[in-house]
This record gives sequence, structure tokens and C-alpha cells, in this order.
Amino acid sequence: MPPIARRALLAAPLLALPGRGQAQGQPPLVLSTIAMIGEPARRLGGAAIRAETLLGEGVDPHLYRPTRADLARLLRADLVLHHGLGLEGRLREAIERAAAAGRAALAVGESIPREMLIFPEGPNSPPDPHVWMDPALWGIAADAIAARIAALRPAASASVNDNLAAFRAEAAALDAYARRVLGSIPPERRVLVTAHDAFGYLGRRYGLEVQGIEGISTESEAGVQRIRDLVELLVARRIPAVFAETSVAERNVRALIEGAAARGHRVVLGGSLFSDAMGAPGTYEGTWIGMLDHNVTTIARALGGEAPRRGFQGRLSA
Amino acid sequence: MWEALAFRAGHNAAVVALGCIVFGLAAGAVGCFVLLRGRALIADAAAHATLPGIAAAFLLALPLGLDPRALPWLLAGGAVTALLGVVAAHALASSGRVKDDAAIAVALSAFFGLGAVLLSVVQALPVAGQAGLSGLLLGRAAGMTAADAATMAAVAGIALGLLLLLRRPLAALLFDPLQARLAGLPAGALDAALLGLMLLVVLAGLPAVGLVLVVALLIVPAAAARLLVVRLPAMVALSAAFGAGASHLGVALSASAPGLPTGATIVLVALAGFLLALLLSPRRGLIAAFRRQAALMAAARAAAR
Ligand SMILES: [Zn+2]
Repeated sequence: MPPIARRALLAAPLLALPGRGQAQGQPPLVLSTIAMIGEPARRLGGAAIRAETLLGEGVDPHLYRPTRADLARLLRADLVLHHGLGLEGRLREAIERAAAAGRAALAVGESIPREMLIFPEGPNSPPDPHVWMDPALWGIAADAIAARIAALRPAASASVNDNLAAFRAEAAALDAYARRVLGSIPPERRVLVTAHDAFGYLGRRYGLEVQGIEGISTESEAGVQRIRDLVELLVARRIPAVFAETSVAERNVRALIEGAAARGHRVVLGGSLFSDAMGAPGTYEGTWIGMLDHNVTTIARALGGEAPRRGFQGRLSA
Repeated sequence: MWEALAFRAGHNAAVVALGCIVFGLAAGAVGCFVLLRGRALIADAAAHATLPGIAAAFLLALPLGLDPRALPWLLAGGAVTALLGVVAAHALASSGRVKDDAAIAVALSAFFGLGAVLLSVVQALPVAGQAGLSGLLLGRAAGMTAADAATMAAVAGIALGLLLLLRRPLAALLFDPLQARLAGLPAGALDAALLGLMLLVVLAGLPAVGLVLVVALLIVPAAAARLLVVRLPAMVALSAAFGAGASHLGVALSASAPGLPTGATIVLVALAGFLLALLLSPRRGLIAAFRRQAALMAAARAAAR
């Protein structure tokens, strides 16, 4: 499969259209790879930029293979905001091509200081890329995004700074809410079992033990032993719920529920969490704040904690 | 390890083991006929040609309001394009313009390429669960539910039952086509039936070992059995037992050691068994060949003395 995608890339024209948007008097085009970057960028830039996102709702960035059209969009952008930290495994080549063609690019996730990252397999291994799960870390990323947008449109830097202040205040409120509702889960049940290892930063910040069926990337396949171990954990700690993810197959999670049921312990599907992709654009769950609100509220309620059904701003659907 | 082999390593391990064992049994048995009839390449092409059908079934399920992740639905889609792929290869070969193996290779790459394109459409869709599709490429046996295993075992079981019914005419087709024709057995229909059996096995194996490795379990046990025994009934029995045993051992290993993906482990166990057969085969084995060589040299020395 990758060779086919690569051939498609090589066949794409080497044209880089320099700053087309600006030349025509339109605001500059800021193209983000994932919505967790794109939505905050749109909010921070406001009318000073045109914000677009490459990967839509429910798309898995670990596995996504860029198309020719994607490369063309990257080559048209005035600023490319990608995540880095190894998240967009197969997009990297296309982003490097865009950067080589003179497009400005920022690896947003890599603006976070290294010592704040989690290295699950030791300090020389790749970091866990899912940093948007921690509001404090993603606030640092928002600072970096705002700085680049302000540099792109110096005339708008005052409004970008105002937007950043409002964004960070809302993130701080979300952080306090998450600490409160996740802290209300009975201590022995503070275990989050999900389809893949996307919640390490959430767990670290709020004191949850996190177990993903698959590894950090959805490219790794779980063996039977992993399923057995997790069923054992669910039964031994009487954990009431496991969670699916919107961008990852649900099959493994269903196998866990079945395995626990065979041992006489009832586990329910606690809901679908947003891990690597968020809700539909234009909805509250389609914002980074709403995505985290949804996750935190769903987890707290399914594991026996106290949380309002509609989240910390009363804006969640459901 | 021992508890996994005895089906006592928990519900999930037992479900995965049972599903894979029935599949291994059918793959080993059907594989003998596929191998002896010279259809191994076609089997590979058919397996790869399931990809566009699976992706298309996923895409079609959305407007039809079906669950796009339902395994029987995806497998049905895969069956359709696998059949089309084989028919295309056959048509291309019988046109006489390209050789058989080239025709098969063209069909394989065309259908697999089409599948890759469709997958890249699927991956950009705003629906959950596309990740389940890439699981069918390399298999995702560990997360098998009882319903998945039942689907897999049912398809494999049907293939096995049909093989039992057709074993005599199929054997005639393999060893004495002329005799078969004289007895009124239509070779074309029998070849089509063998193709159908092969397709059933490929489809049964997709969820466990994926479309890249499924052919290995069709061909490797048959090739190993061929090294060890001569007569067809013995070869089929041995190959089926080998396929089932490799599946069982592979699942048990994956259930007992960390980080062993189930499908790939099964295939590696089967390959290890094949190497063993290659060493030990009484007629074509490496050890037997070495012995014969040594005996020849001893005889030559004795004659020279
Ligand atoms: Zn992830």
C-alpha cells in the first residue's frame, strides 16, 4: 500500500504557487493537518486568516495516506500547521515536500518542551504524540500557533492576542472541571481502558491509570495475550466500563466486554471517546474544548463519578 | 502456553483458537487440491482481489443504512470482486495474448490497486470504523468476538463439507482428467467448484490472518504434506491436521507471550512446520538426500577398493 501512495505523490506536479491567497488580497491560507490544531487556529486567527483542515471528522491520522489533492492543498497554503511528534506517519513526506517548496510550516506538537512529553518506551524512543489531551500542554501549543499567525499578519496581532487570552481562560476552566469530575470517580475505579493508547497525557494530568488495547499508534496489532490481560484487569478491579474511540475499530473493545462477561463480570461500553479525531465541524464536539469536555464527562459518568450530563458549559449534545 | 493449548486461557483465547482451527482445517484440506491442480497463484490473486470488494461494500453500506463494519457484509463484497478478479485473469489468459502467470499478475495488481484507491476514499470519510478495514489487510484475530469466530467457522465448515462431497470427482480431475471426462465429469464445472471452495477458504481466513497471509495457510500445509506422503487421502488428512495444528499453536503462542500478533504468528508456525518437513521428508527431504549421497559415496569407495 505505501508504495502506491508514494507513487501518487511522485506523480504530483512540482508546482508551488507562491502565496496565491495573499496576492489576491485575501487573508492568508493556514492549513492544519488535524482538527485539534485547525479549530484552535481558526479561533485564534479569526478573520485575519482562512483556516482549513486536511483530515476530516473520524479520520485516523496515524494511518492516513495523503492523496495528490492533499499535496496540492499543502503546496497552496501560506502556513502549514502540522502536529509532528510522529503522529502523521504517512503525511510527513508530503509536508516535507511543501516545506522544501518554500511553504512555511510549524510542527505544533514539537513546540511543547521535551521534558513535558511522555516517552512510553524510554527516553530514546519516540514520544507519545497525543498531547492535545492535556489542556496545559495544548495551551502551550496554542501560544505557538498564535505567535505564527501574528507573524503572518502583524496588523492583526492585537486581536490574535485577545483571542488567545480568551482561549486560554476557557482551557483553564475546562482543566479545573476535569480535575473535579474525574477526581469524583472512586479511586479503585480510576482505570481507563480504550481501543488504543491515546489517553496517556489525560491520565497523567488527572490521575487515571490508562490501558490501551493497541499501542500508541493504531498501526500496531494487539495479540491475544493483551486481550487476556485486560479482561483479567477488568474482572479483578471490578471496572464497570470500557471505551471505544471514534477513529478506531470497535472490535477489540467488544471482545473485552465479551471476555469479561464470560467471567461473570458485567462491563458496558461507556461510550465513544474522541481520541485522534473530533466531532463534526460546526458542532460543540467539533471544537477542541468540546472534544475534551465530551471525553472527560463521558469517562467520569461511566466509571461512577459525578458529572453534569451536558458538560462544564452545558453545551454537550446527548 | 499449555493452558492455552488446552483451551483454558479464558474466553477470548478459546474463541480465537476455535475459529482459527476450523479455518486451518479447511485451508489445509482445500489447499491440497489447489496446489495439485496448479492453482496457487490464482488463489493469491483471488485473495488480493477481495480488497476492492471489501472497500466497496463499506462504501455501499452507508447509503443503504447497513452497518458498514458487519463482517458477513464485507466478506460478501470481497467474494464478488475476488470472483471478478479470477474471471478477468482467466479471460485474459484464454485470449492467448499473454501467458497465464502474466495474466494472473495483471489481474492481481489491477484489483489490488483498485482496492487501494477505494481504501483511500474510505479513509477520508467522516465515519467511524474505517480502521476495521485495514484489519482485514493483515488480519486482526486477537479481537475476535464469538460472533466473528462463528461466521469464520461456518464459512470454513461449508467449504470442508463441500470438499467431502466432491472429493472423488475432484481427485479424478487431478490425476486422470481423461478418465474423468470419459466418466462424464465436466472438467470446467469441477474447476469452477474447486475455485469456489478456494474462495470460501480465503474469505473465512480474512478476519484472522488478512488477505496478504491467507494464501500462506492455503498452500504451506499442503506443500508440507506433499513432502511427507504420496497418496491423496493421506495428504489431505495430514495437510488439514497441519493447518489446524499450526492455527492452534499460533494462537496459543500469541496468548502466552506479549506482543505476538495472532495472524502472523500462525503463518510463522506453519512455515516452521514446512521447513521441518523439508528436512525430514523421506523422498525429497534434505536429510534423505544427504543420506543418499553418503550411501553413494560409500558404495563408490567400496567399488574402488
Ligand atoms: Zn492515536
